[in-house]
Amino acid sequence: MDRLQALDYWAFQLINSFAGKSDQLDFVLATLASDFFIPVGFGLILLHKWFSGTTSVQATGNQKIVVLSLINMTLATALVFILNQWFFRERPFSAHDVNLIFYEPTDSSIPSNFAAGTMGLALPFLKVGLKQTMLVIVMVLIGSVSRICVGIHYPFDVLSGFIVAILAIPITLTIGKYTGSVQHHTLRIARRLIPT
Amino acid sequence: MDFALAYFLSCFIACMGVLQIASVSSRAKYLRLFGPPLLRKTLGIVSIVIAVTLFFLTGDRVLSDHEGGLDANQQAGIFSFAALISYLLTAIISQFVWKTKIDSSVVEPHQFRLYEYDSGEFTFIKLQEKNWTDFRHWIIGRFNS
Repeated sequence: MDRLQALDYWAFQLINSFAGKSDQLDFVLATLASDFFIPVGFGLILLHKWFSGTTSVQATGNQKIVVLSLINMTLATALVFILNQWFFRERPFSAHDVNLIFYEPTDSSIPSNFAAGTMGLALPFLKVGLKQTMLVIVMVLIGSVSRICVGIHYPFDVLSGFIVAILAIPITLTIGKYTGSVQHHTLRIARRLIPT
Repeated sequence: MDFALAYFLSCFIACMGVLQIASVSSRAKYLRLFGPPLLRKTLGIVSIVIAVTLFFLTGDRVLSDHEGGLDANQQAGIFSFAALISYLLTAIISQFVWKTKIDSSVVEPHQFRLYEYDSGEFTFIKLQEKNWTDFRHWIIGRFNS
């Protein structure tokens, strides 16, 4: 366990060393790590996904992906919330001398809520195709690594966030399977209000 | 400018841009604001870039919700509201500018009673009026039965 923590801290120091070197780079890192850049990017991708599709079958499939993404994100962040009742890990800036270029969050460092939420949104895209999945996974990685760069997460926090999102997938798929008719009716109403 | 207002405006502009990109797809033509698909796509991308730039360059956006930022629920709520407003505005402007009709094939797999007496094409506003009328009849029917 100690060796793992040492490895985690070593990797953190390596990634965090990019912060505090130039104002421009710090601005870019803080923007990428912010609570707005990547989450809003995902919101826009989901909005586009809702309206895309050249056939009705494609459009319905895309809308189901949007629904699954939102369910998986909700489950992943709920799992993080439950885990945080048992585990609390101090943030890197509380335990060490770090290059902090971000505000100081007060919740547990592990698992990363950001990593779990964004990976939770991204994973259902695996059903769509490799190209789009790669795009969203790259977005998740950029956002998550930048949160290590700015000094608010250890690498293992991010990895555990990803694991939580992966663990949420079977639950999401089960919910998706048993709520098929509810989804069908909801999409019918949605398509009547928002024709696609 | 207030943080929440700046966030709303940025999301609104970005959503307008995304809807223009989406309107290039044949099924969402009723959302087009401009003619050529390439222009719509280009303006969509430009809108997104402008929205992001305006938001991040016009103030300190790396704030916790205790320091004047927004918590996750507020963010989700404002984004959804901005997406809804941009959708409604785009659909209504498109209807007036381009007289766009929504093709019945768009809703074909989900046929509804209201389309049975229609010619097969309808405007966005007419569709919403009929939705409201049908909803009212459905509610009244529920109370009467």
